[in-house]
Amino acid sequence: MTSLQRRALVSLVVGLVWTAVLVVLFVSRGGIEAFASDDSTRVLLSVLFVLMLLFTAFFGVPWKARKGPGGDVDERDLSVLQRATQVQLIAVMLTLAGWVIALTECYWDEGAVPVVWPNLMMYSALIASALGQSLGVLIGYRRS
Amino acid sequence: MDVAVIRNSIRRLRFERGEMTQEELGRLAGCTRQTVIALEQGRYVPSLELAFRIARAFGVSLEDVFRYEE
Repeated sequence: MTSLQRRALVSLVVGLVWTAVLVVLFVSRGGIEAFASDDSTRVLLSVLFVLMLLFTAFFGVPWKARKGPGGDVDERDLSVLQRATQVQLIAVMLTLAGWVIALTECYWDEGAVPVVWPNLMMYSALIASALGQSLGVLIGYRRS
Repeated sequence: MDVAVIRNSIRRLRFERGEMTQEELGRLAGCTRQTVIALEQGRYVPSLELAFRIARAFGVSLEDVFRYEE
């Protein structure tokens, strides 16, 4: 297993566990009503969410990806990393499409969507992006 | 148009050079051991630059390492 594969696997597992923790916290603290009205719930979830993104950003992708002798990653690793963005894009598009369709159906008659939902859309899209990149790297190595 | 395939003799050349390890070849050519494994298994086609570095690591020409077959 290459170092990039190890990073992607750990990042994916940690990301999934962290997402599950966020969902459990969200539901246990009162769901959408608490998120909209309780500042402490919103701050707590936001902080945990940002920490997850920071972990994924600094650990999931090698900052010093170099090509050539002595590098942490070689050309094959870099090509896998580039192709992983396709999985990342699909994950984000599916997430956003799902949200838009669901919210449209729920709030069509009201003509407006409560502001709390776009917040959750953003959170879920960024989570999908982070997890999608890790998954894309792992898929890329399986297919190369 | 027939599908073109690039085959290589990396594994044979490694053993002909005192059973050079995959890690050692990777170090000489500037790639990871996993990439050498993928090359030997035919799962990865190297860039021209990496192909030249591999040939140089063996001290042979590019055509002695890689073959283009249709």
